[in-house]
Amino acid sequence: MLRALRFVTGAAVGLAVWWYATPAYDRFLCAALRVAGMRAEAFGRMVRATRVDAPFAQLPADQLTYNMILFAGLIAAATPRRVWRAIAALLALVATHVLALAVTIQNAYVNHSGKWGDTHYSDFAHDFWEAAEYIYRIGGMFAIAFVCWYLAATWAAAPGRRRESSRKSERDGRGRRRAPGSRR
Amino acid sequence: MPRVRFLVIFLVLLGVFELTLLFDPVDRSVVRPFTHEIAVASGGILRNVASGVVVNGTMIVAPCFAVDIHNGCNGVEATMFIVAAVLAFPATWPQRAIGALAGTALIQIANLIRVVSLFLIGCYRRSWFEAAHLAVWQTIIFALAVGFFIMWSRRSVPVNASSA
Repeated sequence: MLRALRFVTGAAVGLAVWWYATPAYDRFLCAALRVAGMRAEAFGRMVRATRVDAPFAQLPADQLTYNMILFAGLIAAATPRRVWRAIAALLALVATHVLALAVTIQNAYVNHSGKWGDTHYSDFAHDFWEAAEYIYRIGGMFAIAFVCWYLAATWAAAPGRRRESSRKSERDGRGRRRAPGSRR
Repeated sequence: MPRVRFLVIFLVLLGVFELTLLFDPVDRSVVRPFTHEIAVASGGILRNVASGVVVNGTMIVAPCFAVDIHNGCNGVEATMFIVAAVLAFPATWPQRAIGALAGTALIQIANLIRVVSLFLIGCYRRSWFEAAHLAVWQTIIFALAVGFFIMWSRRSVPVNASSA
């Protein structure tokens, strides 16, 4: 019950962050795309792809990033033991947002730019980019949020390390029990 | 690494399930009839609270609002999420079957509530519809799917647990 409450609180915070931070976040995503050589500009909750040799495309970029609400809820409900795991999971989620925006822009060029897309791309490219965006939007984005959280929340020590530490704890006096007065 | 194995199988199964939705015959003969049944059930509930509700294929139409139920709003994708996760988890086959059936029932009941509530939001607070449709209800449905899977996987004993 407490976990459910924590999930709702985390998701509510995630919703507020997603709602209000989207314009700034979209600008960040566009900047990341520019590093990769793609041209895109954010305006409000939309992104405009501005390739020189193609008609420009407008995309509702906020619809690609709302899996952060589920992620925030899950992190709040079952917080990873180490903060860096949560940060690593968040960075992985952000990386998938950059990738999702790149895929969506590419799909806009291939499938939603009329004759230009038909003349520049093959039938396979049409199907591939359509399927990639569809799979991400229809459920893939939530699967990604789940996987990022799951890896962070259930990350176990490497088997060798664990064996070594268990041997050490056995030497020190079985498990968590420490000799009275022993130093850490 | 059993966790990584679980995640790989889960993602492969989910990808395969979602790809099948892209095939026209699957869409025509499975998804659309199923979505029509959701529209009929939702329309039946809505007739008790709104007047002039008519169902036409996958559309629910009333004087105040109309919705067309597509993939993403029929609960199929969240059902696939649960089924993929349950099948990927190393439980016994009877446990997996029970998990998949119970998860599917949970998601479809929640989805019925989603469709009805979204229709009413469209009728009475249209400006809220877009945010409720995408961010809020999609998150709730997938949160239910994840929550169900976590609870189910805690109660299901992994098949290799006895040898451990």
